[in-house]
Amino acid sequence: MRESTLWLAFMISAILLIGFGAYHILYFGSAMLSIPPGQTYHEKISYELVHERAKSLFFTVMYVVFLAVALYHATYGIRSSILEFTSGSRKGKVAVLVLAAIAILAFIYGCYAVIVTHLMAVGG
Amino acid sequence: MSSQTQTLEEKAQTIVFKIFRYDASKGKSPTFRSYKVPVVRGMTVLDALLYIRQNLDPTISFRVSCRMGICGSCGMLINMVPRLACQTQILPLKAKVIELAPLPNFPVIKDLVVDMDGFFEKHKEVKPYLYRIDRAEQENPKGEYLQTPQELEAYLQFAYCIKCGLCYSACPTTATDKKFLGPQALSQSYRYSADSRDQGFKLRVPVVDDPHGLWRCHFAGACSYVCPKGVDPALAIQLMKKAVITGKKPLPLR
Amino acid sequence: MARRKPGRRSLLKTYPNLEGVVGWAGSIGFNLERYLYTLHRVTGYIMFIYLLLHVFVTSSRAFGPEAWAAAMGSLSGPLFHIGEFILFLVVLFHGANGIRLFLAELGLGLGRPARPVYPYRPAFRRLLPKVILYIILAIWVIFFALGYYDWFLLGV
Repeated sequence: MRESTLWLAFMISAILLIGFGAYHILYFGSAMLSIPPGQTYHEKISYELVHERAKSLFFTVMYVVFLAVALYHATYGIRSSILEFTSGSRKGKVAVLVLAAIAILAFIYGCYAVIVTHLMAVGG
Repeated sequence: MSSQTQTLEEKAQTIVFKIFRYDASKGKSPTFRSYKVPVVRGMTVLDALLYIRQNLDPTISFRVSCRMGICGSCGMLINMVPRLACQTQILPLKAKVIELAPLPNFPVIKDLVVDMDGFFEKHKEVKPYLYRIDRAEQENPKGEYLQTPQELEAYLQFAYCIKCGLCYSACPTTATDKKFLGPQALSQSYRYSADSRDQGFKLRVPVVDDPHGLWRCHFAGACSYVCPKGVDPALAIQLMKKAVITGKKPLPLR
Repeated sequence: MARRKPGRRSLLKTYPNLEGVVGWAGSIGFNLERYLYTLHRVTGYIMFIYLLLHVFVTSSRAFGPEAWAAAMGSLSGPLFHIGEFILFLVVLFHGANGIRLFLAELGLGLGRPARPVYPYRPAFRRLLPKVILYIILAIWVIFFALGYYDWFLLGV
């Protein structure tokens, strides 16, 4: 794949992350802009509400997409750093592969957690 | 009585120049050596270097040619910023000690002289010449290639590049990435691609669309900040990025 | 992908003069955008580490309420409260600066080439890019203040 295609995907992921990230941070972090209103931070991160939100397929799918976009953006950025610091030597190529492996593992683990929670909430 | 009758030594103030000295034949590691130079208003760093060479230390090596900021030979690190020695006046630097070092990110041959070969090789890679598909016609043209003033303005700014290497030194990516093309080569790829007489945009795209090409520029802007001719390589590179993404030869904006 | 020769080796022995990480981090005397670039990179590294840890910790939800409570419990406490705010500042900077870079790297807002007239002014010192820069810095400051109020003063 051409480098420019990878870079363009990186830029698009950046824009998507601004949306996802802002919503995610405001949802959990903001008392002023509580969505939904009235819940405190500790309530929002309690298992009961996690279980409640996990019932929604939309939430689950959004989490998976958010994770994929975030990991792509982060991986491309760190790969950019690695390429620059190692000038594309063999050490650099190995480092990029290790980085990609870490990202894929993180994605699989995260998806597993979110999907399993969804299935537990819906099933049970 | 009047200042006109004072000699140079009388009306001058003394500025210390700490200069990077390295001699491969001596085999020692680089050192800094200090020289006291009488400085009057209007003197440039190049004047001081010539004074040192003539009066204090004839072994010092540096490049000099036009002494007027058009040849690009005298680039060096002057108080931590890459500048042309002939274009940098000493007193406005407002420093009692001026540190001179060779341009960073280039290998040093001796003292302030650096090896520009890698830099020129990278420049050659982007095919910095007008390319016509009909090569036979280009070799034996039937007339001039006409160009409107608008078409000229689309690339003229970037044609003022004197290949001094200051941008290449200032760039944070070249500091770590040996394969990075550098702001000069990348901006010249745009200068030729945006030229209405050139038909070689498609040839240059694979050269710059590379893991160590255009996309390792992150718009730090230090290149444009230090450019002595106002070439603004940062602008050229961002415009080239747009051109590579759209896939179309950059045309003059109406 | 173009293969690149490292450049004709000089026959003379030369002193390698690559600035390396120090040069990448930035010496003194350059423009503001140069240092924003370094900060953007450093915040990116911080966020990458955080992302991996965050995914790991929040994935404990799949192992039942006890695992979840244990994970959330280990992350409570005043130090973490302050730490999360600092993280918010880091993310806010990276996002805000990222908007500026998104616009510039797609060639938007920089204007067209113009004949250089002394004193030379780079494109990013023209009006629109400067306005964008100030807006981005203002966004960072304003959300810093709003976030401080929201996170520490309003109480969760």
